Amino acid sequence: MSKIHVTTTVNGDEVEFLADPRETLLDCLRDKLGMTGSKEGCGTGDCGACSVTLDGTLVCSCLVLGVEADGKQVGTIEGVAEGGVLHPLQKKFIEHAALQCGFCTPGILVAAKALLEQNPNPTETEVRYWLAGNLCRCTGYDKIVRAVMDAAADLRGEAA
Amino acid sequence: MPDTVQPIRFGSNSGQPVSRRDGIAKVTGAATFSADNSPANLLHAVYLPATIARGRVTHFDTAAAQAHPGVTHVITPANRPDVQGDPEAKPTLFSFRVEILQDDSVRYAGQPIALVLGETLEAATEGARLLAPQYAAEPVATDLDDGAPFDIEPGGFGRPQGMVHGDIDAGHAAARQAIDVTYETPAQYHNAMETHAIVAEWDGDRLTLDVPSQALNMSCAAYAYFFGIPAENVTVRSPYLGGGFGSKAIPIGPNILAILAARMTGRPVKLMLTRQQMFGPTGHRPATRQRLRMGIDATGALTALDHESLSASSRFDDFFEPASNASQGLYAAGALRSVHKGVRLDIGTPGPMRAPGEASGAAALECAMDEMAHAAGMDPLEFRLRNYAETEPGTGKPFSSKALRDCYLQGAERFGWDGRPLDPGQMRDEAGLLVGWGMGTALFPCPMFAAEARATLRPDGTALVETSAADMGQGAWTSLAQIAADSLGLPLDKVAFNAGHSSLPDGGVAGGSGHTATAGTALHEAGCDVIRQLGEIAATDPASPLHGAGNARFVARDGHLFIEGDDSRSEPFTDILARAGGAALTGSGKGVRPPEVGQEFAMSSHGAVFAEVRIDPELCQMRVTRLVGAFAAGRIINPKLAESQLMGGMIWGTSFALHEKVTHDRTTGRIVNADLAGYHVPVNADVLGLEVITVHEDDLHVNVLGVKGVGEIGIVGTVGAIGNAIWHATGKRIRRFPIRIEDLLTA
Amino acid sequence: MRYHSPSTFEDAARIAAAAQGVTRFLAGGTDVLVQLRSGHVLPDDLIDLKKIPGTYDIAQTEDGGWRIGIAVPGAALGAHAGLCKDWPGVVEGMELVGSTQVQGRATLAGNLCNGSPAADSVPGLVAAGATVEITGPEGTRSLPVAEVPVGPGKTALTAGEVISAIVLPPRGDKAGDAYLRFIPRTEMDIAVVGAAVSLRLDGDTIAEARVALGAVAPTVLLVAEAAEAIVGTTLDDSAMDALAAAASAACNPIDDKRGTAAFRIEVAGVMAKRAARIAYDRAKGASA
Repeated sequence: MSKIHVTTTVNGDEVEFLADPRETLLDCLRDKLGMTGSKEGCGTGDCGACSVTLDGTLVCSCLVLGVEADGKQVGTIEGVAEGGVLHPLQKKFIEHAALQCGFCTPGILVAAKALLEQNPNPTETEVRYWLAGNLCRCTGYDKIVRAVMDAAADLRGEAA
Repeated sequence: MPDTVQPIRFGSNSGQPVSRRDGIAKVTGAATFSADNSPANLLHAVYLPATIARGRVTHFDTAAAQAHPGVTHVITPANRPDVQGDPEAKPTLFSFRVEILQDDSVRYAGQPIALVLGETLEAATEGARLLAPQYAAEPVATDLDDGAPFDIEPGGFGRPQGMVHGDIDAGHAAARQAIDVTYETPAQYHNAMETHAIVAEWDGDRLTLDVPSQALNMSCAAYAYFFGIPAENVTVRSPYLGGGFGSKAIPIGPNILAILAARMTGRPVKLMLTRQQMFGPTGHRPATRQRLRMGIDATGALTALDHESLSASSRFDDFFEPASNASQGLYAAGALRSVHKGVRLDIGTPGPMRAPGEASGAAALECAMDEMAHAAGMDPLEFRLRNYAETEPGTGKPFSSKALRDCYLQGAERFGWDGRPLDPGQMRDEAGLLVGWGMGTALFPCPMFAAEARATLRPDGTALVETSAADMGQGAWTSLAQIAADSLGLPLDKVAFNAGHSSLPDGGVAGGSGHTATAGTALHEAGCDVIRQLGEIAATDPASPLHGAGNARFVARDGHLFIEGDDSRSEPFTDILARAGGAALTGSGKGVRPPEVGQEFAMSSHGAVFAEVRIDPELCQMRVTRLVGAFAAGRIINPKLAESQLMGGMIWGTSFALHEKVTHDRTTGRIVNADLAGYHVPVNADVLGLEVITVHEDDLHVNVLGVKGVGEIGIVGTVGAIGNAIWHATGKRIRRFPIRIEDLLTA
Repeated sequence: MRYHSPSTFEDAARIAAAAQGVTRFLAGGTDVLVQLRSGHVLPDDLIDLKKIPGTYDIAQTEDGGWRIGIAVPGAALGAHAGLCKDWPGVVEGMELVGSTQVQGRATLAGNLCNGSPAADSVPGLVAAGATVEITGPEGTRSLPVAEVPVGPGKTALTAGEVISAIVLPPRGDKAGDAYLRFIPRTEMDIAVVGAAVSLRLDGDTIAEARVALGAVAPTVLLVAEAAEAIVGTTLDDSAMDALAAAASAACNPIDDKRGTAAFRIEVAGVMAKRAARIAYDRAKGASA
């Protein structure tokens, strides 16, 4: 299987790797770049644990080939905290206990961040539907929504 | 020797809503789950699941698989290296027979029939596909109706014990009104978000495993058995589990195959189940059919509660859902009977799944109670209070504590149960949707398994506490550390907590809702042991202000030792230790329940769940719009995390009532919806208006901490509450879970 | 597996026509990658179409219709004000496909070529009278969307042919469309029944209508009888009843794990009525 040279930008840093064309972006991130924060929960785009942004658009990295990332900007959970400072969403998730086992958490945070970047003031219903593709089997759904709403208020500079 | 019994205090560390100590690791993606480990020189393993449910494999295209670039080894029953243990044996308390390519037979769809190793996951996956197995298939039975029911012979794990109290026939005969109803619950699969995964590496006869485990040391013993090595040669690292729900308490066949592959190749091997494979050799909650016969006298008192459960196990091992256990300890019926029957089917062996027994059993029991209440013309809550058990039904044993009445009353008040019309179909919302209210009672036992812990007080006044406890999301890293900090009289930030590693003292089993109680008791005892030693040093040291305290009780608080009731005499831990030579003090503790406590008391957590549903009258689409659960589960160590556990359980209950179910193709025996597109669990948009109340309960008997456990009870009662609310909205009683739209449309 | 990323549809068609083994075109990848990962279909040749110029474009045609590139994901359709104004029913059908994440990738062309009778975007396209532009070894041809699926998982495309654009007709005045589906779960589910209605008014009276149903037959159905039931009416109760009856009568569903046939037939009528009401209101000027 001939490998293809891929140059892409992950969380602002240019990286290169050789990809088997069958390899998903998720596997490339995890196995070639050592970025294991994105998780595989289903491999079929049903659970959202592998959520990343691709040129700013939220996608399941298990449904993107590594070779498709060539020349694109990839955003992962590892880039959500900047310089060791937690993003407000990360702080609010801890504060509200919006995580339990934590396996779905990276994908949910990437998805929630993508939401707040395009809609800083979502309704609770908008949050619930936006995150409908992020399954949580510990089922912290209620607290997840509260944490996202609170983080959104925080980012808007409003008191929660 | 000074008596240094630690008073149990709320409001120090325990009882505080501390945020998760593993929170930062988890929100940054830094928490490493087992499949995140990729040691150098790694081989990837993929197993091939059977696509028939009964018969034999007659041929593999081994050559094609072996020839695929990147494939290194193809393992089938024909060339599988020997293991030292017997695959049919059960080496530990929680074990099932494993399928590890011991022969060419197929006993259920999804069973591993071959293992392919490759330099990459893609190569191994393609190699497995190229094996193109051929089968000699035999007719299959996968439905409860397809088997011949038999009485289960009780025998511990997986073979539940029925019971009879009083004269059940007389109870039936004495009934003024009676019902005889049959409920069905489906087979469900755990589907933790993290699929089963293992990274196995040998170094001589020592084995290191990165594998999620709800029972680290027990699983070491099981793996050691299969490979003929001492248990201490096996190291299990399981710092985080991406959910377990019962499925990660038991070593599964694929894990043993991966270890075998690592031994055979001399290289580390990673095997991660796909989501589709999570419907295979992983255990599941088996389908049940439950007949409930109840009778009441003129006052609404139950004269008979007769619960017979039928459930399915595999053809080759025993795990029968103990569903009718739900009726053994809940209502004060004149006569009680709980019966367990089984059938054998061409399915994988079931296993414990969150609230095994009680979840399915209470689904049926609580709906039947609602039917009985309606027949009696009584409010469902009033009917339950009428049959409230002040002592354990049948045995008459006192409860160690039971605040169920408070759960009923507080839950009902918060929900606004008052004024609920007795008859169904009476309520509509402003949009014209049918509205219904229902309730269910929850109970779950509070077992303790054995655990051990170690606590070390360092000369600098900090402590290290250690136990191999497992955090599968419930918060062990946090709540157990809170208990340990209290036992040592230290603030939480002075206590380092090590867990999730089998080299630590055996933390027991994270299951049965008993982990906090068990590992917590061990940690508590370990801390008390340290403080006892410290008190001995101080009391005998002339330089200590505590010198000569004799038999006074010492209290450890905020890094100081005090004489109880006399705050004027105290000394910092650091000073005591410094004068004693500056060495650390180490103590140990065990978490076990003395057997006499179980003989004397009945012990359960209790709760009451109230549900509101709204239903489109034209399309019968159902939405659970409100859920209020009130639970009494002894002492709550961490209200923030306990609330999450209870909420999670209630959403599992919603899922049970409305979503989850596997469907077998009755010809091939395959599960037709073995992925997350087809196997429905609730999504964010399905969950509205969730409220949890924890009812205060002091329990002086259940264990020294007064902790009962909150991991499973949330699901119990919720299923029935939703089923009852749907009846109340529509007047249609659906006796098969999950309740489907077409059942309502055609009922 | 060979990975190709041609820069023209002609090249893509040439590669496909020359390929010997299993060939798949890659647009959003939300179906192809699932098949690939699960080992169900491992293509020998995978032809990524997204490097072809224009595949991400949504452009107004000279006659006032729309030409939609084959790589335009659902999220981009929903963000396009002009398209949403003209064809809200088409857009809402596509937006129901999968999660937010899937919306970032999944395309109309992929949803259509997957050949699922339950594909959410297809009834809206059929009701709209959309066509596809197909590029093949023999050149380019146009085909109504309604004629693309020929059975579950099967399309009218021949070897080497690839959809190179989706074309929507001009919307015109006093017209509206809508798509509704029925799923058991609140979100993240596959349609048990889908219904799309596109109509044009003359005053308050429906002058033209097209009704399409999904998941109730081996392919998406264009139900002429259902359209006839409402043409010439103001969507009064009797027209609605006739619409529901015609929609239900046209169904030829299967019993499966997602729903029984009887249930689908019943629900199809209700969904057709509700979709017609929304389309009618939109034609009267209600915003989508």
